[in-house]
Amino acid sequence: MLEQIYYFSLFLNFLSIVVFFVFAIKKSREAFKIGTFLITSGTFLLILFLTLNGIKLGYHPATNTFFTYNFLAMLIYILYFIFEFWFKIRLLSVFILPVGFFFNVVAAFQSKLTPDVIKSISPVFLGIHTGFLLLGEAMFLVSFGASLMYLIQNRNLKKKSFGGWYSRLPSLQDLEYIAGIGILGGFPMLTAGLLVGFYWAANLWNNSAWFFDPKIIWSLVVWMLYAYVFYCKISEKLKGKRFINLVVLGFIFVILSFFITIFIPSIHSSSNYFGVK
Amino acid sequence: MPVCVVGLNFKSAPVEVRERLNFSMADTENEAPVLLSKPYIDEVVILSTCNRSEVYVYSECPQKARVVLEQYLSERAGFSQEKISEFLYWYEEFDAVEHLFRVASGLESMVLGEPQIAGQVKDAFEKAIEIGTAKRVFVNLYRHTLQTVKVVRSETDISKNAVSVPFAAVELAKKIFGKLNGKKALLVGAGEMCELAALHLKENGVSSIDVVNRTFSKAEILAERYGGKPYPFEKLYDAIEDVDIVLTSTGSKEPVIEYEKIKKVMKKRGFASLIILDIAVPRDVEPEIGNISDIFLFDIDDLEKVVEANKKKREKEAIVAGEIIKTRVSEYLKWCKLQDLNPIIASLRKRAEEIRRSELEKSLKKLKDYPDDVKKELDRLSYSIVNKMLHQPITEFKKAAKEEQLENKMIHFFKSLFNID
Repeated sequence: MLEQIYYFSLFLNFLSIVVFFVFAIKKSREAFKIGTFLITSGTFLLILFLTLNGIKLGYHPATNTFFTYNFLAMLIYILYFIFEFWFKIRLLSVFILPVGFFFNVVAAFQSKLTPDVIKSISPVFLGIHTGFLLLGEAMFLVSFGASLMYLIQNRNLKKKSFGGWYSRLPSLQDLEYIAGIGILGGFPMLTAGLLVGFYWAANLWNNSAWFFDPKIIWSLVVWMLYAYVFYCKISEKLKGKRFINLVVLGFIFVILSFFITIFIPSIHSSSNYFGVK
Repeated sequence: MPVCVVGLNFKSAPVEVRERLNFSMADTENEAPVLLSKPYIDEVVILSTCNRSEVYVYSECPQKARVVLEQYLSERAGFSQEKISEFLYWYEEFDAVEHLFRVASGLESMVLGEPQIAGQVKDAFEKAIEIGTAKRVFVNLYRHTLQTVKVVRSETDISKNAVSVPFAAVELAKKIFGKLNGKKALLVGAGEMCELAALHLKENGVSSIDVVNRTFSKAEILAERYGGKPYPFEKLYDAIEDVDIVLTSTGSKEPVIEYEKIKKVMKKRGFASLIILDIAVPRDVEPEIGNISDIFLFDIDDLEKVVEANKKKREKEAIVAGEIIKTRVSEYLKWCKLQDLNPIIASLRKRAEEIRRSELEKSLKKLKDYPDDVKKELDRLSYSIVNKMLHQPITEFKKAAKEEQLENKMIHFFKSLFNID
């Protein structure tokens, strides 16, 4: 039954993405309405699915890759609703939702088993760790989406192409503002998530070897990069396209951090004995 | 009884004809009552702008009214009736109302979708209502016109997007800065287009406009006018440092703003976005400057390009607006038909009531010895029969009008059926 909810939600989300692309190309208001309805229903089912699983497990479900990716997809969808409601930038749908859906689909091919070791050691802590990190990453995705729109609009203005996309995309200032909000909101989440992870890791593995894990080192690189972006934002040291470029770079690093464990063995690899995502 | 319009506009007549038929507000005040006193004309509104002169009339006999109006206009223009009719157009009923809605929405304007015409239509109708040449029909038509304009503006983008160079400058600035509140502009040199753009920027929230000019005294005068600081020409790059938008239009043959120097300025600005609008020919700004990141350089051709693109968008929107107007016209005419029925229905009810009363009185005379409840019951009975008999035909009659199946023939038949005039 739970599985069916998940697959139906996946199906609705897929349809919504298709409809949103139709909206982006055909400029049809109806398509936007239908897309919004589909993604709302899909997200609702996804939330229901994750909540029911959480109740069944008795803790935050984001403890294996299947749930983690779905949890991320859910956060991305929810953030999309918030930002769309806030800024009324309909085209945001095309830039943010596909990434959410990507995780939504990738999840289906991931391990659905929570390693026993995690069950034995405070899954609540792990839930907080992944919860914060994923929320941070979803915020970075919003920044990234706005940045892509910025780059397109910037190009339109530089190349003097005043066609359809020029008039439909919002102003550069607004897009930079949204990108900034994503960073301002996401960085504290990232920091909190990492700190919780470190605390937990230090308690779990008494030796210091965990610190040299590739995923952890990569995470620190990402953290430092975003610390710089965050600093640039609050100090207003970097503005305009330079800031946007940095946001895009940061997000590429985030995406890489998801897949780094596939290529390099790590305590975050699910194949490993410790099997911690 | 249709609404009709006779008139000419920039498409149908050259300016030398249009100027002869122009009506000032004072003319309207004198001429509209004159027209109203002529035969076959029941209501009059005169709409006259530099691009059009139109007389809207409400008449029972449109064709006869047409002759009267054309004669009047030929006299006013000093042309023969034959010659004047070459320039005039004439619309009746649906077409006339559609024409009015299109004019008011800016679809018939030289600059498609321009909003001023709505104000001019408003003035024309309000004047006519004030002097009493617009009555029941035109007061309602006026109301419907305003509603239509509102619907067209909210449901289409016909009046959005700049279609003149100075407005295009504002639009570009908004595409970069979002709101212009608190932004600063700099005017380099002085030219009509440049100053116009500066004025529009100011209207859209730009807080101050600094001025650089080769003649410092001129800079001072302009700076005072726009509420900014004047700078001598040598301080040009210092001035650019703390503004967001630069408008240049100097008569210089050589570029005034140079690549190397502006690059340094950008560094000092911390690469905050800078818009440079170069309206001069020959250009004031080295074109390579456009390649610097966060500088948005637009020359006169780019602004024209924006205008062209926006005009195309408006043409597309005009098609949508035209469809909206067509449905609004049918709704209006339907509404009118219903209004026309009201007096007929009222007189039908009146007539029925008269018959009932006289018959009732006759009976009551005969039944004068009966108790009061019987008389009362008789009154109720007759009332009830009459109402129930009338209910069905009236409902069907109204329904037919709503569904647009009601032809004039049928109205006549309905009247003769119940013997009402």
